[in-house]
Amino acid sequence: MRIVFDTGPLISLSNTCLLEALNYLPSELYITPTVYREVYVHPRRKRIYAWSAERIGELIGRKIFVHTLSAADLSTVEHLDRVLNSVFYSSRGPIRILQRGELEAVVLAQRLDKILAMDERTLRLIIEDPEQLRARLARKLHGWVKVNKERLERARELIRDIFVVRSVDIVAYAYEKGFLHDKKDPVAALRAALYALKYNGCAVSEEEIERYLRRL
Amino acid sequence: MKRIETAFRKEDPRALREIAKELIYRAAETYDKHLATLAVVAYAMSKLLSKVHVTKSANWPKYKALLLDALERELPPERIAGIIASIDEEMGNYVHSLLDKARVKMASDLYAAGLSIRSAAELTGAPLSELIDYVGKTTIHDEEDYSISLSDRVNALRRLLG
Repeated sequence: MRIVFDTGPLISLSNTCLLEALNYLPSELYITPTVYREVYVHPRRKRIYAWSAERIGELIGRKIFVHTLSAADLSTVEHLDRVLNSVFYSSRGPIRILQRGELEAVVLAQRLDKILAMDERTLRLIIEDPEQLRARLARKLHGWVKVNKERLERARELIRDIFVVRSVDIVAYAYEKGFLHDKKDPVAALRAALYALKYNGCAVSEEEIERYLRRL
Repeated sequence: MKRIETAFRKEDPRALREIAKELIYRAAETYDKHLATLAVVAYAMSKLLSKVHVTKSANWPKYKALLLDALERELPPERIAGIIASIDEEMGNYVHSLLDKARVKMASDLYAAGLSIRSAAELTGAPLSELIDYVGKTTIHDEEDYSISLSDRVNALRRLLG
């Protein structure tokens, strides 16, 4: 099984020293060239983020592989861009909510095994709960945000098979496979790890984390 | 621009923050980078006004005059941002620049509104790593209902990966 990674989970896992959780995934991990630049090339130039970038860099070519997109893939990205960025609109026209970076990751995931690791929530909500996204946009952008239902259906047709996982889901899965079991108090360590990821940008609520931990 | 000028002349950081918020949401509707930069400028000015070591410094009248002049002449937002950056370089105490902090704050507001994190970063010029770090420390993700729970995703991963 091949998992495509977006930028967020890699940065969060690196910043929280949890990259080791990736070793518990029996999968090859892939990133697009855009993500490669965002997690490694650019942050290396800023001292404050360079160490995190180097840690990720160590895995590239060993556990994480850069997968370029074909011309056909890029054409699909363009198409997705046109469709997805015209789903929501206000009185001023379509609202652009997604960038190429996300769309490239989706297209690559679509081509491989349809598993996408992504910590931010916008694309995930388009797949899983577009009404929640519309309501959020409407609340902030002066109340008038509508959904082009035909575009939304087209968009969801293109990406509905994608299963999105977050860094917290990966760490929780890894925990169930033995990650963190060497700690003095593994459950406490897991709780700390999940919250560390949350505070480093993973779109997960406190309620979700606590609900999950109660089941252990 | 006039409203920003008035608020800055009065040294009213709250008014500047409100203007910034209004501008950034308008910028999101049309993906207008100039408007987004103006929002960043307004917010950065509000932060400048909140720094006592800046407003009480001997150079403050000079800085204020520079910025007011730029606003009166309606210079492009990018140029006004450049002036703020110079002031910050002379007076700043932190690793993250005032402008970057303003960009991150505005981008965070856009992400909270529903734009993707990359869209928010792109529109405002916020550094992506800083933005990811920042949004994690807000309550943005606690404000929503989850579509598929952590438990369900882990179960699904188990089914897929073994």
